[in-house]
Amino acid sequence: MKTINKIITLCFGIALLISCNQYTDGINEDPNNFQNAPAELLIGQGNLAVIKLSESQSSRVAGIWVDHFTGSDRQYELLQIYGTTASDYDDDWDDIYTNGLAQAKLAEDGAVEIENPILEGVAQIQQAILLGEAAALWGDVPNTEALDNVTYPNPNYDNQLEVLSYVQNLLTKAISNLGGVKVSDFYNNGYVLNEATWKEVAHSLKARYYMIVKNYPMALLEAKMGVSSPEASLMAFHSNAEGSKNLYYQFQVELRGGYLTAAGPSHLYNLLNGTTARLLDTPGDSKRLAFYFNGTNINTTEEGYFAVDASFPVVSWIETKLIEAEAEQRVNMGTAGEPAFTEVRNYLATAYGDVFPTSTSSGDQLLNEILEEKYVSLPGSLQVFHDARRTKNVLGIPIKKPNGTLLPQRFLYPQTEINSNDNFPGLIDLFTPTEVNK
Amino acid sequence: MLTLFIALVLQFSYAQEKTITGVVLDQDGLPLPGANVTVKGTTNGTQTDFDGYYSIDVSVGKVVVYSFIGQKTVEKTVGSQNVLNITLEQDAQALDEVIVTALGIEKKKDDDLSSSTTVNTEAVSRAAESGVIQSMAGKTSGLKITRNSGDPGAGAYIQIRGQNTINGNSNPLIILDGVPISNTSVGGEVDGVTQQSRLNDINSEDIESVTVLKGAAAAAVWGTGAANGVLIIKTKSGRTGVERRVDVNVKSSVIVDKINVEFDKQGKFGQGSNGVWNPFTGNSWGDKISDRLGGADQVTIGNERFESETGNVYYPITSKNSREVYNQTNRDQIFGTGFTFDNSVSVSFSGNNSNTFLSYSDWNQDGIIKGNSSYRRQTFRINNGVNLTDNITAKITVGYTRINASRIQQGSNLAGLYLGYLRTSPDFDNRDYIGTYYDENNIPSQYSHRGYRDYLGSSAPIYNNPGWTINEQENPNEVERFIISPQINWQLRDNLTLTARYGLDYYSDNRKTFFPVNSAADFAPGFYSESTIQEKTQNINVFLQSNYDVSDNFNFGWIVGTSLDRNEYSRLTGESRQFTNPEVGDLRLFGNAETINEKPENFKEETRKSGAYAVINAELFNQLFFEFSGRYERPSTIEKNIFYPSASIGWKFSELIKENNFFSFGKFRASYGEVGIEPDAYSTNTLYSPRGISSSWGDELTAGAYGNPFTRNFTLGNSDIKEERVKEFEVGGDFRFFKNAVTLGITYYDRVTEDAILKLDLPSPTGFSEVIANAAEITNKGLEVDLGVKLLTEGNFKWSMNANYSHNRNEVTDLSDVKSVFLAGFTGTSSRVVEGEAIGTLWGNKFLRDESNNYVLNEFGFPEVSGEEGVIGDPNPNWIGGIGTVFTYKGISLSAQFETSQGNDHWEGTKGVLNTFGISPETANETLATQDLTAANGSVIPAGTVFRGNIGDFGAGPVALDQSWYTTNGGGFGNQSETFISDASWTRLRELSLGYEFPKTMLDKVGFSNMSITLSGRNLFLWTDIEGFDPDLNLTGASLGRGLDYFTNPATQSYVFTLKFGF
Repeated sequence: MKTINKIITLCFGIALLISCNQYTDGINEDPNNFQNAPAELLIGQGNLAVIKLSESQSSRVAGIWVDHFTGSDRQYELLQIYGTTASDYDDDWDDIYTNGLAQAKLAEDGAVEIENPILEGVAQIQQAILLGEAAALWGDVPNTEALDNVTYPNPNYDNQLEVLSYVQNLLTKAISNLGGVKVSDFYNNGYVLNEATWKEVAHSLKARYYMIVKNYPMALLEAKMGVSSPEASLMAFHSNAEGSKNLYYQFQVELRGGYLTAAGPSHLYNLLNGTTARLLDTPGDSKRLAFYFNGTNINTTEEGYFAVDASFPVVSWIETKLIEAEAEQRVNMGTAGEPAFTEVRNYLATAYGDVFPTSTSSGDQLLNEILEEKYVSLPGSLQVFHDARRTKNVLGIPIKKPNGTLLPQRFLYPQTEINSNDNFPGLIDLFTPTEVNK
Repeated sequence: MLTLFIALVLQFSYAQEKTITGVVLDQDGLPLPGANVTVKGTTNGTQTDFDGYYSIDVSVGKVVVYSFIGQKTVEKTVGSQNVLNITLEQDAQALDEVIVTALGIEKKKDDDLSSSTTVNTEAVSRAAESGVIQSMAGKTSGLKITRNSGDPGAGAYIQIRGQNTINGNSNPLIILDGVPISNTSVGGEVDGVTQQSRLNDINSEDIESVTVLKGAAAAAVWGTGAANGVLIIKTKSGRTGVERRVDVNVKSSVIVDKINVEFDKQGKFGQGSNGVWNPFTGNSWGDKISDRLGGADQVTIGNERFESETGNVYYPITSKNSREVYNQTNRDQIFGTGFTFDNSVSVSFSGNNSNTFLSYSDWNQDGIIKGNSSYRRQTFRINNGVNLTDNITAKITVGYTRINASRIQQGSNLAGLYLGYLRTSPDFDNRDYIGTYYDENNIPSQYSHRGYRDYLGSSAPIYNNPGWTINEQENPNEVERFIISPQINWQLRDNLTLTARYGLDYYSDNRKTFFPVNSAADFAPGFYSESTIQEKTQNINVFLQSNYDVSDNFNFGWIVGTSLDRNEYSRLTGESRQFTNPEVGDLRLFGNAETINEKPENFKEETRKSGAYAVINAELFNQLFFEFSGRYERPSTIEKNIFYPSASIGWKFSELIKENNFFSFGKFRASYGEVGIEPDAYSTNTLYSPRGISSSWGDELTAGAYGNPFTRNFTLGNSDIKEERVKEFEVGGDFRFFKNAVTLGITYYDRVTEDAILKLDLPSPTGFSEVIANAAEITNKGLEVDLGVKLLTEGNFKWSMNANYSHNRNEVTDLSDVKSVFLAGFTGTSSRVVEGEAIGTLWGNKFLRDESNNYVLNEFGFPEVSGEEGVIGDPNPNWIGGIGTVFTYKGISLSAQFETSQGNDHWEGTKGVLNTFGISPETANETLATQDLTAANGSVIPAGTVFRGNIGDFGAGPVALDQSWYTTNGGGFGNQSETFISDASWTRLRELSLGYEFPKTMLDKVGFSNMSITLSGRNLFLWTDIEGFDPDLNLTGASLGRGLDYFTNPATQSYVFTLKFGF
């Protein structure tokens, strides 16, 4: 062989060797993302997931169904008459698990590792809210097989009551982990820095989820240890800065003007303007009407309930007090619910600077007045939707589906589960109550 | 003495040589300039001049050879004559004879074992499209080209032999002058602007040929990356080995574009709902316009008013009296005639030892949409080849492209063009869109935006006025691109050549988006973003090539090579929201917002690949051909080395048949090959980053605004990820009949993509939403037929036809038990991957049906909606085809190209929404109720009443389809989309062209070598059942999601006048 051929062969040989080794090694490390993150950094995401669940689409849907609002444009015209399909729930379901529970669980595991009970406790509260609301909205949901993709790539669904009892356990653990620390001192991304303590919030949540399973004595007990003053409510923080605006404001002003109104007019709107009489006559409602609504639009002006920087209640004193009032009334009857109810009415009188007479009723009349107050005081709250189903619509919220007889009884299981979960138990009709309400 | 000497010399000369002169003509009797005239067996030679004349000194008895590319060579023995006039006939086979292999090596098509096809310059140039790819539509089988939009410079979707892959893009690998170049298309969402394809950066006039390698075996040496097919593009060059000459060619075109299909809008009913005028609703379900009083609207003249820039003043309307309908005015506000001026000049120097090709082109287009819709592309090219020594030639090709374009917002976008325009009520005049709003206290707000949902412009309207969209918003982009590829060929020995190539393709694409204060929706406080994308693609490819002629009956050759590839992509984006100073004028900058509202973002990606390959081919008895190739490689995205084999066999059986008039040529071929697609970079690990949270409606909480918490990403990393592999078996034949007048190519292929990578949906209760996995199997089986017929070849009148047919059946045969995977579209209607269906299947909600497939009806006789989504259509055609024909008579030529696509479904999203809004003409029908009719909301329309809407019957007798139906499940925002899936089969006259080539005799007098004028039309006729839009469009651009229409900017038809001349 000629020398030149040898040289060429050699060069090629070397080239081949080099090419398959060093050239490609170490290139596939992502320069755009981190390979890990500490638990303290993950905990904030769980808060955002809780806020989104409380204030975004699920809240708007519930608000339309309990007729706080009217769905009055495009897709919302169908929601108005309870027209909805599985894919409408993909977003909320996915965010509860991926954005919320997964991150909260990672934070909890990390907290155990670094022995940080406060971090652990906050992570447990996050999980309790997310799981509790999921069970309240959908009924049976994955829990024991959730968040372990290796062992359970297709998580089975747990019974609704078992999930809600697991939620109570989580909250019990959280309470023992947290002591009396304030929300404003630890892991508060997303929340207003006020007098709230994590422990009181946990007790309020226990009360809330006992209500949902109709365990009124326990609800009463917990509510009394819950959020103790209006300034101690757990409130979502909003400001005029991009990315932190009130979610109702974003929806109404920036994204979907005209979709969500009270133009129906809504039941809430009618109660506030006197078209429909309140069970407990409330002159101060004219101020409340102006606070909630601007004409028939939701009030997104600076003074409105849905202002760009208006904080939104996640676990509030009013909710806690009205749980207490209702539970007390149900357990001890007569006028037992009155003191807690009166506290709320007096607070409202001060807050609005108007007349909010206290109740002189008793029995079922008082019970319904308490429920109606909760209905009116918590616009867009999922809790009102839970109450309406739990009480078999005792308040007589109008059925908006032509010829319909029932309010929607649940959120539909999402299309993403139908698509991907082998253990998906099957779609359940919108008007079939969840187990707790059967 | 001197005289004697001269006489002797002359005597001597006369005895040895004489001078032969003559003219060389082609078959039409036209002179052939530049034809080669050589004396056989000597180095003595010359070329004909511009008039075809030559003169050569030659001895009697010698043989003179006359040759010219594309013509049959003629040999003449010199006898007593001094003048030899020669006619060179056209070589019937010559034009399509050569194809280019994956490595850029030219090869006789008759010896090729693949189904590759080459489209030559003429066909590419004739189409007068801005992009190379668009011009190939309908011209060869197996290739499906879909335009994304009629916007200037818009990219196209290229699909060779069906969809092979789910993850990432489906674009073929582009090899330009031997080296891979980028064909990235960034974008393709349901909103925003139409994106360009980087393939459009090449000037069509620079291209000599485009070869489409459809089969896996043909592409195998490129291994990973070649699974979607390969396009081999060769640019023009001068020639070496000839006498010095300079050719200059100039082309100048004017293209006039018009909108080709538009939506009809009803003009009977005004803005409002339930038959009542209301100027704030989006609907046009208002009062009957002709029932109004007529005359001017009654207004309240006071402080509150809108003063437009044009000086018109609008006051609050108290009574709508006007009967005017503005559909035409509103249309003319935004659509006009688009003009393009396409000029290019090229100079080619040919010489003995070197050649150079220089070109410059300028494509300057204003789109059919008025305002900021334009595309200007300038290109410059130098290709230079030089013989360094007898054995070494060097070549360098350098291309530079610069693009300045302005795009218009489209799609599902409240600030988009069609959305605002089509939804506008017929009784609203859009023309005054900008001005000053004065409130009750006479406080002015400048730059107020007036639209049909806020006719006084008191705040940002819910939808943009289209005038605002096209004039006030800006979406410019600027691209600069260099492609440099030097190459050396070193002939080491007679039968051994070393080729070394390097390719560098670098571009930067700067995109700006500007929404002034008062644009619709969340852009109302002002929005500016700027993004710079840079991509660098490099390739080194070195190979040795050798051929051995062992005997007359056996020869073989081999190629061994190695290549290194490197791709670096980066994007740097800045975003500024909520302008502090709303009056920005011409300033487009960051810093005019609070810090929290400014957001920088960057992204980087690098991938590399190293590989080695070998090709062995052999030829037996001049009729049996074999080829084997293998590629061994390592992509950086995978953690192991991989090997791709291929083998081909061919039999030129016509060698056994005696020459006859019927059968001219025949070859059977079969091949098997494997190619691959690598996973996305960085798929192996689960990663962490700040994320924030948002709902599918867009309301969001950003991480940055809340202490920047991190999340573990929802995409589960997969360290076992490997390449997806396309395995293809292909058989076919190439035949020619009737003395080569009829050519026929048939290919059948069966390809399977194994381990196809996709983002597999995980149940979100696992904590993850998806995992990148080798989880699918896809098959593509198809038949491709290409037919060419030269009907008339002799004489002045010539006529040829060509036709092609492609059928492809695509099926996702395995999807790891996942029901469907989202590709593109919306929550309600999307284009998806579904097991047992074709890729891109349309998916959405349906009406509920019972066992016998009847609608399940509610108490009002209207169908109930199924809660679950399912398959509702298939956007893939059953077959596609093209027919073209060319007539020529002397210098006149007439050509036509038809293209068809049959059996493809399309989602008519726009139509559905126009139903909801009461804009579709069908919603404006006035119908007499012949009996009591129930409407969707349960109300009853008594017999004898005329109502707005139609009568329908879902199985329980006639029902009234009125506003309550169209605004719910009878419209685009309903909970079903099956009724908006339609068969979108189409046939179109893609091109029609009439040209005249001036005769040489005439041009000689003015010193030109050629001159032609051509008048052509593009997309002149469209036959389809789809109304309102051209089904060749797709909302999500070049993405895998197909068959979606939702306020997509419209398509165009064009008239082109072209003048070409050379000297």
